[in-house]
Amino acid sequence: MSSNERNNNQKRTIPVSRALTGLLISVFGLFAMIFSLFIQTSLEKDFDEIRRQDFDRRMAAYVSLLDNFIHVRSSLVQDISKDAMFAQAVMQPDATLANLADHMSRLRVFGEQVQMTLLAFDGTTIHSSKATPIFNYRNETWVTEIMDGRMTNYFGIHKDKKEYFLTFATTIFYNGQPEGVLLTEIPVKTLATNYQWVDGVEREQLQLYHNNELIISMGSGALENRVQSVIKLSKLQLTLTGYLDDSGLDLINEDILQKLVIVIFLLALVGISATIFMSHKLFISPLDTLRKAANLVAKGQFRHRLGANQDTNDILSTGYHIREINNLQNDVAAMAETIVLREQLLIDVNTTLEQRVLERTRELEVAHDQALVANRAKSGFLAAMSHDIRTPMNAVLGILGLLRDTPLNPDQKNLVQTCRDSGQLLMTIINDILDFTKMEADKLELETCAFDLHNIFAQSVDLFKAQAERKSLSIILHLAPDLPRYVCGDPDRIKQILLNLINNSVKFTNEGNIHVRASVTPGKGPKFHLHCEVEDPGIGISEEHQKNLFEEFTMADQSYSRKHNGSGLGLAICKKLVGLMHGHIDLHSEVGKGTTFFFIIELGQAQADQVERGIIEENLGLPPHNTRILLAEDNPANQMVIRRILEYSGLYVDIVANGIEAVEAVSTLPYDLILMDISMPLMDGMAATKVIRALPNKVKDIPIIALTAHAFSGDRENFLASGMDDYLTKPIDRAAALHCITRWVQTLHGEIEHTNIESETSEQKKDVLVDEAILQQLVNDTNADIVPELLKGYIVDSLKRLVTLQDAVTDKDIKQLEFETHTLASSAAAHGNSVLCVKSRRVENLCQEGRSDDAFDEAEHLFKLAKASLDELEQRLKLGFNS
Amino acid sequence: MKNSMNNPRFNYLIIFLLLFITNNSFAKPVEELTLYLSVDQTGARASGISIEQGIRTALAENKNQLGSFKVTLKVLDHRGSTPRARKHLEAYLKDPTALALFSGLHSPPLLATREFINKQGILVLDPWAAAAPITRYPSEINWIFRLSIDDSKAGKVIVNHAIDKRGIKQPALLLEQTGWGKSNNLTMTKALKGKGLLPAALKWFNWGLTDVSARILLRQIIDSDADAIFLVANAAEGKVIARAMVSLPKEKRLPIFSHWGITGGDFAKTIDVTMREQIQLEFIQTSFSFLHPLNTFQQSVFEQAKKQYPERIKNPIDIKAPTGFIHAYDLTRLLISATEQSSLTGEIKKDRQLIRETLEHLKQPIQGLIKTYNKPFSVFSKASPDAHEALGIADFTMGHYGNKNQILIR
Repeated sequence: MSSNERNNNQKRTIPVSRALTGLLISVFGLFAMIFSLFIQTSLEKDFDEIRRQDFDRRMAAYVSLLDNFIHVRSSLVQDISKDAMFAQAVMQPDATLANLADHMSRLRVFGEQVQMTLLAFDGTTIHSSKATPIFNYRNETWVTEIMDGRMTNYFGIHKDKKEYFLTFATTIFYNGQPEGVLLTEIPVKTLATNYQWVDGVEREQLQLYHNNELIISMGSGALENRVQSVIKLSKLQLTLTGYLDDSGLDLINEDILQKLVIVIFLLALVGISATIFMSHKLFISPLDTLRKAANLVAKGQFRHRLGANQDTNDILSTGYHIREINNLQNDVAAMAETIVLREQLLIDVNTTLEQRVLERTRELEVAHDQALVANRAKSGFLAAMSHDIRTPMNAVLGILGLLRDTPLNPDQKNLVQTCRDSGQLLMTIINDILDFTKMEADKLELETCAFDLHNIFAQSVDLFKAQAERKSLSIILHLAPDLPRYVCGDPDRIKQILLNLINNSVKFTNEGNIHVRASVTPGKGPKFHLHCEVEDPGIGISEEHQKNLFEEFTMADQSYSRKHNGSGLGLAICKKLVGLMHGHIDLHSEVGKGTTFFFIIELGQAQADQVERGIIEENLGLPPHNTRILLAEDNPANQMVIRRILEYSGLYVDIVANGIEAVEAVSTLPYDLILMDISMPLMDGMAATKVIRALPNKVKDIPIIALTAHAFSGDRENFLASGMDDYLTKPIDRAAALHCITRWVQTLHGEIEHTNIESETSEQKKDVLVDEAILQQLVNDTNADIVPELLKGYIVDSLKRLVTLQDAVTDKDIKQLEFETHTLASSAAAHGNSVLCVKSRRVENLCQEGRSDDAFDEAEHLFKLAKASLDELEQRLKLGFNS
Repeated sequence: MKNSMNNPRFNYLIIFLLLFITNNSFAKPVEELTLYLSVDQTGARASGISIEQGIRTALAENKNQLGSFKVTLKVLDHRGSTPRARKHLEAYLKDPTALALFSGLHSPPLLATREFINKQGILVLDPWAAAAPITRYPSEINWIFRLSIDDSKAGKVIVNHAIDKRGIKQPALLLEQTGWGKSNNLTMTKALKGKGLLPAALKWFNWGLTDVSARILLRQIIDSDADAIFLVANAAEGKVIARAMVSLPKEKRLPIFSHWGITGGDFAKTIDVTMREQIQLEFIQTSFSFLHPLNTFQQSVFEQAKKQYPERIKNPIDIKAPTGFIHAYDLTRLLISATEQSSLTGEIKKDRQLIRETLEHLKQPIQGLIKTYNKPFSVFSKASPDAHEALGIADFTMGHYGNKNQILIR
């Protein structure tokens, strides 16, 4: 729309306010005129009509009042008649008269005495509380009707001289039969005194007729211009006629009309002013605001002020709302806001783009992290691979060991030795890689337990003694006097560091003594620092090489690599381990003069009683470190764990994953012992044991130790029945496993260690029939609930065994005796009857040595000991166990 | 008129006419006689019916004859109402064939009209109503004859039984507020005094007693520490009291020793076996029952009753409220005997007088159901208060209801 057109239109319009004012004034004026005329004509008629209707209504009320009056009186008489006194009186008037008169004189209704009369069946009066009864009812037909049972209650009006009475009567029953009538008479005039019949203006007159006979007239008489209203109570044969005075009505009408017209005009004035005011507020001012806002929008000036939404509020700010105008306001506001929104949208698009850039950056970071994770996964993969190489490598080494022991010419022997050395080097490398990759994958965790530090040093040194002696070297251990014996830390890892350093020294030293020194300085709180150094007079390391010595894949002298086996990872691993123990490692070295590696680590303090397995290890010693063990176990996790335990104790471990492989392995390679899992795929542990036991060669006698998750006595019987020698409970306890392995390996390898143990144990436990430590270990390995079951099973089993043992002695059956004592010894050892174990072994050994007489003699003593041991165990059993 | 009144002949005529009328109505011999029966056949219906049956059976034995006169029985129901009973007496007096009037179970109508009866010369035969004063009108000329329990003795019988046989120590009296109840108050209190006892409580009730009022009365009696109730009531109120007793907790209920008024209506029908089992109830009876072994005479009476009421009476148990039958039968026998001993004239006033005197002088022993009557009545005087009582204390006992609502006596 152009501005010209708009101007033209404006010329033709008039303001809303002016239009409304004109319209309203003309409408109200017209209305007031018509209304006045209408009122004047119709009110005159209606007012008359209204008054008439009002009078009729009041008449109806009077009638209902009258009806109610009669009904209430009638009910009262009926209620009073229920008293047994009246029945008695109508039946036996003579005997009751005195009581009856008294009773009737006491009757009160609404606090007033009522006059009552009692009639006999023939209508004669028995008694009346009226001094002189007015009426004779003897010949009244209604009395006959009542006595004949045709009627129960009666209401009637009777005239005495000039006075009218209302009579209310009811039947007196005895035995369900009408026997008399009780009635009361109320003067009609009480109607006038008891009730406010007529209105206050006294322009009414009421007349009550009974059978067309006027019985009472109330209100002012002699009315002019009477209005009449008649209502009949046909049931009671009563007619109520009312008269209303009409005079003075016209005057009132005119008066009312005048007032009405004035009021209407006043109202009209107020209405018009109010309407104009309201219309300005509701229509005109909001429309004006809208127009201004629309102009702004059209000019595009709306937008730049929208930061605070000021314009929108302007449009919507009117206090009162007319729906159409409100809608219009909303539409304009919505339109303005849509424009603003579009603008906002553009800004948003920019922001979104920026956010996307940020997201991309973040994604890149994630990708980077994932790369790191992948690196760790690679390490994991490497670890797994190394492990997979180990298994065949073990086989290679085993076979080379066998080959070496066959008759060979010197060249062949040399080749085999080189082959074996290379193999062992490879194994070391692989083990190191395995450890290192684990560290890379952050999977290496240190153990924290109490252990015997002195022992660790002794063992580490001992391990290399033989190797050193071959090179005419000696390793001398110097332990500071204040070095604590029992400490808290990871013994295996400490030992690993020591072994690594000592190994290096032995490797790179050709003559002289290697010194291993250990001392202590206090650390933070309960911790202390262990200082350790390994000094050798070896070839030394050049300064150049020293820098990179602790880095991965570094060898001080690459030229030595062929001569001196090593992965190049050993020191790197040591550095990592020392770092994990909050310490550091370093070296002093001079080429040609020797090298000193030293490290400091943090250790905790410990008490002797915390170091259980140390004692056991000490008591039993470790299995010889060349012991070859076949582990038959399908679970990779268990394989790793058990392998680690055993390998850190210097044992060789080969792993197979099922019974068939186990049989194959044992048939082709020499092993000292088999750890046999019970449940495996293809062939389980017990089946494999049976197959092995049935093999034709010496292999069948190999000790087989069951690995089981369950340790119930029944299972144990099954294991032993299938030919297994012992069992270990999973998860494998290192000490228990080593203890068990040591026992069986030593049993296999002859006297020296054996007697060692014997003397040791018999010295320590001379009088101890039940070894509490072993029982506690049993509890630790199984749990406190199962141990009593195991012990009971053992006791029952042993008692039976003693019987067969007795038979063997009686029958002089040396084979049987050997078997029984063997079994008794192993089960006694497992259940804490240590002395019994030792004695049984002695008898068994005597049997094996063929000294049958001595064996039978010793066996005689065995019974007493066995009985005492079992009794003692039984007593111990009663005390219970704590896990 | 004035003239004719003064005329002596006219006066004679009037006297003659009056005499004629009088003769016509009273003196003229009648050919049939009427016996009036004014009883309650509504409230105490069983008693009224039973009395009627007894009279009719005895009359039938005598071929419905009294002397040489044919006799009819006019049955009127006064429902226990004294005004109605008085109407019957008035009707009797107007009837020139009305020889005697049998009364019913209720004493009050007789007590109220005793003066009237004796003044007017109404020959009343009472086979049931028991109030002591009924037969003791203080005059040699006494018109009321009774063959029934007499309260002056009934009180004693009830008291003796309850105290001696049942070990009651503190009985309460529960009496209807009538002449009969008052008469029993005197006789029972006197009998108790004879045992050295006083009533624990004395309670009155009106006819038309309601359940609530009855329970209140019983509670008051129980609160008085009474150990039994001596009851004087008719069936209508007896039922209400028995029902109220049953409604009380078992441990509070008291044994009831009742006058026989309760047996006059449908007491046993309303207070049935199951309800009766919950209360202890005994009542006075005459010492004869059709339910006990019968002698030849008694058996023949029962046969006659069966013949008379072939529909209603088949077994002894069918005679309800047997007291009425037995007493009315025996009393009718005495009346028949009196008519035989004298010779009726048909002049009713004379005959009424004649029979009244003959009853007082019966010569022959008369066989009845209860006993053989030897001179059952005599002339009344203060010295012989039992002159008009046919039964004595030996003729009474206590009875109770059996399972078939029959009355069993001890």
